[in-house]
Amino acid sequence: MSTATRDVAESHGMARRRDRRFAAKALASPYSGTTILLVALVVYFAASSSEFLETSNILVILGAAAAIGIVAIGQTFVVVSGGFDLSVSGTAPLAAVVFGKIANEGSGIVPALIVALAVGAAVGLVNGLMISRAGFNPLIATLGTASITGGLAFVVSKGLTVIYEDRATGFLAERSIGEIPNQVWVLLIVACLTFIVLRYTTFGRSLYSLGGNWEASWLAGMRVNLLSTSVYVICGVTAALGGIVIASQLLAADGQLASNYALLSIAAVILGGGSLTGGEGGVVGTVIGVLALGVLTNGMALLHVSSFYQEMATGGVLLLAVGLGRIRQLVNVA
Amino acid sequence: MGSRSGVTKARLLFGVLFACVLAVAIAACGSSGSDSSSTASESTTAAGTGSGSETETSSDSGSGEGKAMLEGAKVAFANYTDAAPVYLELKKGVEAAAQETGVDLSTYDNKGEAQQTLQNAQLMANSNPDMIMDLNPVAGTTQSAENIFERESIPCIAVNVPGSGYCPWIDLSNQALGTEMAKVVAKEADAKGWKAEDIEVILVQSAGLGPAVNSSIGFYYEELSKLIPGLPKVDSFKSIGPETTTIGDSVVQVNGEALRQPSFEAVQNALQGIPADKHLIVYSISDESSLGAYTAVQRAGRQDDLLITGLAGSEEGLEQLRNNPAWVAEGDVFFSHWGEYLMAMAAAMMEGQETPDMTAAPIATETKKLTIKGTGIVPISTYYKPNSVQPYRLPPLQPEEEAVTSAGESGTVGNQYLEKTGVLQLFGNVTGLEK
Repeated sequence: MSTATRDVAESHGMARRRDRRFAAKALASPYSGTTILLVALVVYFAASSSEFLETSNILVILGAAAAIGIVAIGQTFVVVSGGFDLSVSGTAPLAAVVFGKIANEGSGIVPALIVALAVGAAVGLVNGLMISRAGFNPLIATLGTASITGGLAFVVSKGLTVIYEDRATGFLAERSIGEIPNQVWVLLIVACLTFIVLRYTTFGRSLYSLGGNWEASWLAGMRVNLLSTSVYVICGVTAALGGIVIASQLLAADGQLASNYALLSIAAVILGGGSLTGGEGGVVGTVIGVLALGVLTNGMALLHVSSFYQEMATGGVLLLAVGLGRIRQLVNVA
Repeated sequence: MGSRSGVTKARLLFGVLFACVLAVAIAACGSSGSDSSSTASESTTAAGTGSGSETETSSDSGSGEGKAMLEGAKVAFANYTDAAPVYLELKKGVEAAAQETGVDLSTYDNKGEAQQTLQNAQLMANSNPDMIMDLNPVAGTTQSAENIFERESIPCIAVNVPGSGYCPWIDLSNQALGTEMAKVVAKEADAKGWKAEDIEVILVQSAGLGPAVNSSIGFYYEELSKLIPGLPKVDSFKSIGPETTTIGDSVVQVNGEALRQPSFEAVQNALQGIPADKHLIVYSISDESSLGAYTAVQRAGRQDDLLITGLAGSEEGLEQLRNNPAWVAEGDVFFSHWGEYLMAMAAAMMEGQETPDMTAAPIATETKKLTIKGTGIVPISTYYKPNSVQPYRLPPLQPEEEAVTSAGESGTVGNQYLEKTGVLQLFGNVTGLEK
């Protein structure tokens, strides 16, 4: 074999090895299963429905994903640190109702937004203190605050629907840059900030350590209680923001808003590679998980699938994605 | 050096104290509020006097003694849920009616859950009232609740959702509402020059609530398809069930769960499959659902090519009827006044009157201005003063006659028999029974 031929063969071999390493790395990603699933769903629905890939439909998927995405990103902080927050289902409607009431009184949208987000932060603070300081189990603590905040939403609204009297109050659902609703831009901003924090800051890396091994983190001198409390505060704020986003779409808020967001947000994080034992997950995976759920819901609606089967399909997809991830783990271990 | 697992006594004590303080604070806030019943009962004490607890029956049906029998009678009322505005209005109306008639009322909240409903059924039975009124949220649970009442031999009224027959049933007539709203929509579509081939119908059901609630959709579409030639026909209203998602190429049914957000999301998704040049006709089983659907259409920029109706007669629904050009009819069920009819029905039962298969609750199909003689289709001004959300008058009583009940079965439907009790005359707002 000539030198040139040998060089070409070597470079091809190197390229193949590089491709295999890339493929292995991609498949090793914790959200590879969900990514494959998302791609498969997109391909299937695009082939089955001529409207699926239309711009208006994509915007609907993104718009619907924005609210749950914002909540799920906040949930990511908590899951990565080894906990989970069920109170988002109560915090979201409470913040939406508070926001609407203050805005309707003419106090201005910005003050209303600040107060509503502060409510979310306060709920998160209570969760964080109960879990980190008092040692409450996250399930029990956040289940309790979910009931309290959900009930408070009804108390504040007196059981009625709070109509956003001024359309400007629902600015988060309006389209200010191109045809893309503002809530999608908010999701992008929140996702980017979260990515930076989790990947490039000491705080973010500490959360993975905390979730991976609480005791080792404590022994290493990390301020575990402060870290643990702060993630619940973040989750509370994002839950409040998510509730305001949904209410902005509806131009109304009531106590039944976002009633299924606790489980949906946790499902999205798990789909995105998170682990309920902590130490894993990330915003990229969470966003992919949210998109997978949104694509599934939208696609089934376009195909006129009965709502009974839609529920079954959503559960099945969740199990499939987690199963694919589990297979990946086993293959990696092998 | 400590360990996480070893929670110190101090932390545990702090946690318990914190939880106790929080609970007390919440309870203190709750007790100062009003209309916040959960599982606990609230008593609305009778203003009048009377023997109360013993149920007196009269061999003369319609003797008018029922009104007297109500004074001091113990009545337990379980609401569908206190969390939804329309049902909250219903509960307030029952409480007001109890005050007016001298009834000793206890209220319960079924919270829209089967388990809570059955728990409340047992609690109500245990309190040994003279009458139980149960608004059951889940189709199928009524039988179990009725079994409890029957075992304890307590008279009862099934509100909105029928049982097996032990509890006489009061409900709005889905057949009347559905067909009348279809008549209005068909007239409006004709006035706009809409043809069937250019129309897409979106039906927004609540699959989990069962046929007693969703049958209005079947009645509506069956009538609409007759009135707009070219729309896909159905064999009967029963052809449209919870699993129906499409009828031909121009009708879709989605599940809005009778709530605003799910209806918004369902219709938003459905709109993506409907060409932009189609006229839209939207029908749903509640105002909340219609409002969510309307917002979705509005967000899609298609509200100018829409005919939509509401069902409930809520404050928002009435406002939409008055101010929204696309909102052409409101199926008013006068929920806040059902209490009067419930008390009258209780009095009739105490008198020994025989009740029809379905006692008709008051309903009307209100329009902006349209009247269709021989139906309940009337302008909103028939029952409401301008800008008011409280009716100053209720529809006239209906004679009992053979019709299709809201469960889709044939039977006697009407409410004329309530006149004989004299209870409705106390309130003086039913057309023909004014003071």
